[in-house]
Amino acid sequence: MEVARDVMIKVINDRRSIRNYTAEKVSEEDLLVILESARQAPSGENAQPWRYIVVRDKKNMKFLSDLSRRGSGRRFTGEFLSKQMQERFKTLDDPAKKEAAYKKLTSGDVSAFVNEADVNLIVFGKKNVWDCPFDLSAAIENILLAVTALGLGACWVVAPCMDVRDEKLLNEYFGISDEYKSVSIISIGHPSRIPNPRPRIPLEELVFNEKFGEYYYPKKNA
Amino acid sequence: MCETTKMMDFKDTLIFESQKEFYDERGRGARYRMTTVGVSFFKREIGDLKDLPGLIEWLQKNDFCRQIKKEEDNLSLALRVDGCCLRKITEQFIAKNGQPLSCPIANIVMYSLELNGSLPPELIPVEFEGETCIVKMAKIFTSDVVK
Repeated sequence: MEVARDVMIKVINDRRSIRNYTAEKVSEEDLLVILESARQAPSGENAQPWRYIVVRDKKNMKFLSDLSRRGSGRRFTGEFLSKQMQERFKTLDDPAKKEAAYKKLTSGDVSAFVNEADVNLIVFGKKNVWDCPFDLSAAIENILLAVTALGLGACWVVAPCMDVRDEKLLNEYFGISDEYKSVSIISIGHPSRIPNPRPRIPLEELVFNEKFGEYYYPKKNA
Repeated sequence: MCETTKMMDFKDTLIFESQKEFYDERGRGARYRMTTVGVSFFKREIGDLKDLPGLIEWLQKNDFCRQIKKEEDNLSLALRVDGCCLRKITEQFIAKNGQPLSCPIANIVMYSLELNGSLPPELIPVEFEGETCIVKMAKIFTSDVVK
């Protein structure tokens, strides 16, 4: 069991949001492992509200890319105009890096990469279920971990469904009926570049002892 | 049906509490689920929503707002809204240091812009100057905004 523990922790730690892919295809065998992992996720009352559309067609991928670009670009242009973005990046000292980040976000490029992946999974679920968004999130995490274990790369993208106006377009385009809610797309492919891990808030600041306010772990510099 | 002041106050409170509960459940992203709220009503009442000046005139004439002043440039459109009929709901959000979760006036203007060929605009957090709401929206997305 030690091996299972080590492997599991390695997979969790190795997971990244992958936005750059090679031209290599994702095999049907691997896709089956990924979808089977999603099927094994927990759900409230075992309702299994999740449904998936596998998108590989270039025209459909272009639609997802355009919708993602405009969802992200619109949101971040708004955040720039309202100075929320400048507040978010205020600790970044390098002006060139700051400008590059602003431009990438406001252009929508940060989410438009999805058509460069070999496969996109549209993740949607039944509205008439108590815990649908939580259940779908659990399934998505299983997908991301399975992808990592297979040596593939994936990115969880909410841009095309976050605003109800965009979700409506997505649902109409892919024929998803009103009984369902689309929550995300997951782009999957062979990574061409593995980014460094993003910073994580230390556990000392995340965990409390018995009640909120008193930290469970002592601060290391205390 | 007699719409007493108490009844109107009750409806305003219900709208505020519903939106607040939704925010408490969904967090900051809740505002993105409210960008079409009110549009169906105005579609039904006005019909032609493409005529933005006509739409603004209709809102003023029918006491949805006392006055709306519009300022526009290539990137954004700003509305200075006085005497909004939803102001009491907004004030309940302000009292809790929050943003109103939706602005149906902004939603209908954004919808009108879409009908005129714009992409769906992005509503920026509403600012307040006394009784006036300053409702600003990004009409397009572009990295040219970064100067």
